[in-house]
Amino acid sequence: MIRGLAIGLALALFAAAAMLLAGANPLLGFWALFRGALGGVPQISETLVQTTALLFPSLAVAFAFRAGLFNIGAEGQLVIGGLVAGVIGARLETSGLIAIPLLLIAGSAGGAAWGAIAGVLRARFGGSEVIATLMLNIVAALLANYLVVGPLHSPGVAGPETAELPHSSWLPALLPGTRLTVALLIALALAFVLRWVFARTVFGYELRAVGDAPEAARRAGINLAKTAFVTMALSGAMAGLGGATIVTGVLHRFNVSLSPGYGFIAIAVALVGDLDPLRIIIASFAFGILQSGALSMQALAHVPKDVVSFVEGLAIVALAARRFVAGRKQMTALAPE
Amino acid sequence: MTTRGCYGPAAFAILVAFGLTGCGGGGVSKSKATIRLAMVTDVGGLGDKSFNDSAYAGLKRAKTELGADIQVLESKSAADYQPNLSALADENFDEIFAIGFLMNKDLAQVASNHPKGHFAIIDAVVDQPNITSVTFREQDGSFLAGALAARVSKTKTIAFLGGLDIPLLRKFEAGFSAGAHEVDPNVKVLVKYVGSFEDVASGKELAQVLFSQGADIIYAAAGKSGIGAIDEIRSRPSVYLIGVDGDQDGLAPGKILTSVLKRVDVAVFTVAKDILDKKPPKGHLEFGLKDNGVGLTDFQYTKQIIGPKTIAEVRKLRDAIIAGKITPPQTREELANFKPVKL
Repeated sequence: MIRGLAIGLALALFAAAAMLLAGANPLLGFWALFRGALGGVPQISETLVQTTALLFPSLAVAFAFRAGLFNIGAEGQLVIGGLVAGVIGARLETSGLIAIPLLLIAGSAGGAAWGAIAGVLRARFGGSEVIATLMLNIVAALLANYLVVGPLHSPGVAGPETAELPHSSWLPALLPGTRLTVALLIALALAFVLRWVFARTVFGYELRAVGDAPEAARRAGINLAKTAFVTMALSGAMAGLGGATIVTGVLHRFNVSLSPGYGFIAIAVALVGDLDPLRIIIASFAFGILQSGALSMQALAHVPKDVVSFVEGLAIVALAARRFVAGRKQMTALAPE
Repeated sequence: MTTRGCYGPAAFAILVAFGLTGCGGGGVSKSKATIRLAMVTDVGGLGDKSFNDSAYAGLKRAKTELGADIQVLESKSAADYQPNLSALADENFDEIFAIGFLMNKDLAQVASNHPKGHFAIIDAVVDQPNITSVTFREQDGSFLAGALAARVSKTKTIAFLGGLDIPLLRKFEAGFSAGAHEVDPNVKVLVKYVGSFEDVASGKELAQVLFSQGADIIYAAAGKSGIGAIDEIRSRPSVYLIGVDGDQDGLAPGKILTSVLKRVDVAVFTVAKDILDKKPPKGHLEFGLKDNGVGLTDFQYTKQIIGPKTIAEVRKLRDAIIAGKITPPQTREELANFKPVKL
């Protein structure tokens, strides 16, 4: 807890320094951040929209991490999930009761397929999932751009996006007049399900065993390759589901720039949340505040949007470094004399 | 643990110090500003050396010349358009500019939720009482570029390289082809689209293809992809390029015949001035050659290559378009029916 506060404070300091460098007043900046993220019902609901968008990929990253896999590809999986949901959704005219579950499942399947590519490479050939997922992000972005502008282009649409989804396929709003939808509830439910899976199921136990001590897990009869594959596919499915909820709930169409990098911020969120699904909910909310407050920091305190990205980047570096340092200490401690 | 404990107060002290000595720039000044203007960039953001920067230049001009209070919100993703526009609408700006056609649906939504606010959108027509749609007659500027290219070309083959094959870009394409055929019906006009505004490598590759097909002048209306084409002409003798949007002539001096300017800054400033002068806002504003919303550069590096005769001819065509004697086509259908006009 104290360590968390120290990290938070250090980041706040860096943020203040960054704001100064950008020629803005940090106190005003923080005030604007607070007001813009939590200043009223519309602001809080926007913060929760961001929380939701972060929660899906963060859970995806944490899930893979628990199994010892560093999924840096949540961004690409999210984009593919959104792409599948958007491309099908724009062409689907049917009752929402059928369309919405179908689009969410299709989006998850898309994300799962994308995650599974890295899973296969890892399971079959022992290829590093870090590099595979990282590169697949770029492939996903370019593929999405190519498809919506090229072969899957909808007539009458000018930009790199699909046509708008019919109203019946939109996720129902939680608060009328805001963009907050039932996606938040789905994300929260997913977090609780994951917690249960980790704590109470054999699969969850195997997953953690593989992550914590792969050699021991292998000797205990757990199929490492299969676990890696299933983990990457499920992790991709979670991120893909997130993409599908952005398409059906927020944008109501797929646009190639639907994500400001949720999949990357998710790495920081997952680490801040200590890979625990429930703590990740809180971490997502904290980063959601940063995301939605960034807007009014621009508006009220003239803080460039890049300052927030800068702080998020620092958080990722700081936390990733902390984890690797901790991991190495553990390794040295375990190493034979 | 104890060492960590003392970071807190220290950090807070430094924070306060920063706050007090902070540059004091920014701040919510509800001062004596004559009008309050705001804009939302698309995901390209400020620093794109094109569209968004040009709009921002217009706002800055409104600040210095009209005493306006200005505000820019950049968008990190397409999901930011709506909250950005809403946030500004809540702050009761006199005019809020949505920079780019991608925002049309979001703007329509926000504008109907804020019936008292007033908005403007660049490059799209949104038919709502509190929105001014700003478009440009890109086909007019492109027409002049086409005529110029047809005259300068030795191979009598010129090319259009577009970003995305969308109606907006077809205005450039149709105007360019028509302009070429206006001065020389036998000139061949090749047309290629990169499929992206950001693919520098493909832009360069397609430029190579067009040159190998005999073209010696390319009109690159392809955003950053056009930079690839500019790179390609640097190393090739006796081929030229025509730039777009901003003044790109200096990017390869002597190799870029001219640039077809699209003055978003002029449009933004004009809308701002109309508001200050309390003119009733218009539903649709179209900028063309006459009001300098579009036009060619003044051939700073290429006067020798183009020659005074052609420059005079292009000027004559410009006057004819302004006078309404020539109406450059803006779609492929109109281009098919376009007949060169005898001046």
